[in-house]
Amino acid sequence: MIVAEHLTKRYGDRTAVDDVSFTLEPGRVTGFLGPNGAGKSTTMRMVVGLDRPTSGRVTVDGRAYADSAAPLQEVGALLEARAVHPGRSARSHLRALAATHGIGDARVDEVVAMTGLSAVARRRVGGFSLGMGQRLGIAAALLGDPRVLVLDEPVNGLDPEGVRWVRQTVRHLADEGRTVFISSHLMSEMAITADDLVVIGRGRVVAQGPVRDVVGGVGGASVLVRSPRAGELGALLERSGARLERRDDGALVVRGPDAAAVGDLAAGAGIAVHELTPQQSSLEDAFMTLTADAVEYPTSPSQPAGPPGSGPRPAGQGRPDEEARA
Amino acid sequence: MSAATSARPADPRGGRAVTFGRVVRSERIKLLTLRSTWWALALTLLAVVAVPVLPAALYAADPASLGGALGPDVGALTAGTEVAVITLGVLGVLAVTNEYSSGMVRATMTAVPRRTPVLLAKGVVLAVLAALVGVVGVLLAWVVTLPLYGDAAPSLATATAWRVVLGSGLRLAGVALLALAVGALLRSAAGAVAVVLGLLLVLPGVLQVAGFALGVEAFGRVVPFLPGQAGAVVTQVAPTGDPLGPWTGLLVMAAWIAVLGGAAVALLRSRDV
Repeated sequence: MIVAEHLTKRYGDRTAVDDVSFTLEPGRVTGFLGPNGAGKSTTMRMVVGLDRPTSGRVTVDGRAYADSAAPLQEVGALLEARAVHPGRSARSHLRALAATHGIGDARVDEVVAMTGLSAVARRRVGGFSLGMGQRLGIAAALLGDPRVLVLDEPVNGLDPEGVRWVRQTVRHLADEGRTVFISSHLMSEMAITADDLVVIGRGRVVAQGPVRDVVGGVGGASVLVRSPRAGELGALLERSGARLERRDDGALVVRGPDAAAVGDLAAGAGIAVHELTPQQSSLEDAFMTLTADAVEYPTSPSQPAGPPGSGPRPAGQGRPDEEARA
Repeated sequence: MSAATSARPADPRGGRAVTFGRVVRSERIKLLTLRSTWWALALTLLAVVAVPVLPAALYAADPASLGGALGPDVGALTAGTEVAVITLGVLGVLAVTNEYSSGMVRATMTAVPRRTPVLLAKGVVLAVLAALVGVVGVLLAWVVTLPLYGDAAPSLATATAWRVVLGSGLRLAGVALLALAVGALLRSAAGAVAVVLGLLLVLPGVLQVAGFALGVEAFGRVVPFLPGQAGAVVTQVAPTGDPLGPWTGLLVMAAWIAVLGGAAVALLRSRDV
């Protein structure tokens, strides 16, 4: 479990991370979503002690990462920038890291095989593609069989097969009861991979909670209604407290009640309904809204948390080929 | 270290804790799995062995070339260590700056977040390698020049000879440690190499000349206390005129290393990686 409390990091007069608090639970994949430069990497670097917070603190299972006797067994980290000497072979790189914990060559060969690097393990890393470099970074993160994984942009530079592999690996690791913290600026990726979200913009948390709640909390969930007596139905809905948007083609976009409530209300008044479609905004919409102006949205959970892991995730809205506009 | 770790609750998954010995092993793997290390060590050994061959060859051709009637002493075998100062200075700097230039330092410090053991372990590995190359190199130089000097070959069977041979190794270890400390302070290879070689090779001459030109005697008096000069006394068969003896010279060099290394450790702990 990772607990960040009022984490703040300033570089001179620039505040990279501003009063960030969150709790990451075991067995769940928490997506860390934000535009580039929002403070994701800095936050993750503070988790493993590479950067010292200006104020606030972050603990792993109750204590600072640096106080662990066996840090690699607590947290496995893949950080965004390459952390490998290009002149060393992949295997030598992993052996050197493993040696600090007395982890043997057998485990090194195991993570090499797990990440599909067996064929290139003895080649110098300088000749690796970005994707192979990412796999090596993930291999290093897995070395200590850690309880917590911190993965900064792990799908960056991976081919579709690699992206799929990361997605499955991350899911598998969480299902084993590990805490997985995975950052991305790709909303589509997070929609598929994450259970929970921490959305960050300009160094501040703008929303957090289960993916569905974050998306719903932006006012995304709505019902599209078409009726020959749209005017009457609209007035009725407004009296019941719903928020309305009247579209030019005569349809109503209703926020507040769900489709069933709208249908019941219409039936009760004897109003025919020709279309009644629940609509959910995509994670992408939510993200753009949330990060459009971080100042507009206070630092608080967007919604009271629903039952963990319940309900369908808003899959399918994000197209895999669509990268962040951030 | 072991007392501190055993005080913690046992790790349910085998207790593979970080210990200083393991960090040393890690740093040994790191240093020896880079080609640049082997190049630096090979060049160092080559220089230490080959440089003394030249005067030996001259002596073989004309025994009068050495000037003195007594023949060569052990000091003739350590001439190559002056070149080794450069190669090991560069190696010491690179051992730490290449972590920053490649980003490897992020992986390193994530594995050993206390950070200080990393620098100390690098020091242990570098010092052992440098001392080994220095001593082995000088002994090889003795073997290689043996046929050239013939009956006049310097004897290793004296306390002074062993002081010079072992001292050469210690002095080179000191150079590597000094370079490591400067590299850790500056984090940039170019800057650190310039500072190390400047401090060891350029500054003494500059101070002498400046002291002479400006008439400031103090400049000249400082020179023997510079790390390069102080550390070199132990490699001289008959130290002359120096205010420092062989061992006090090494101590002064050790003090330089302690001050620069201490500053490097303090910065390593306080700075972001």
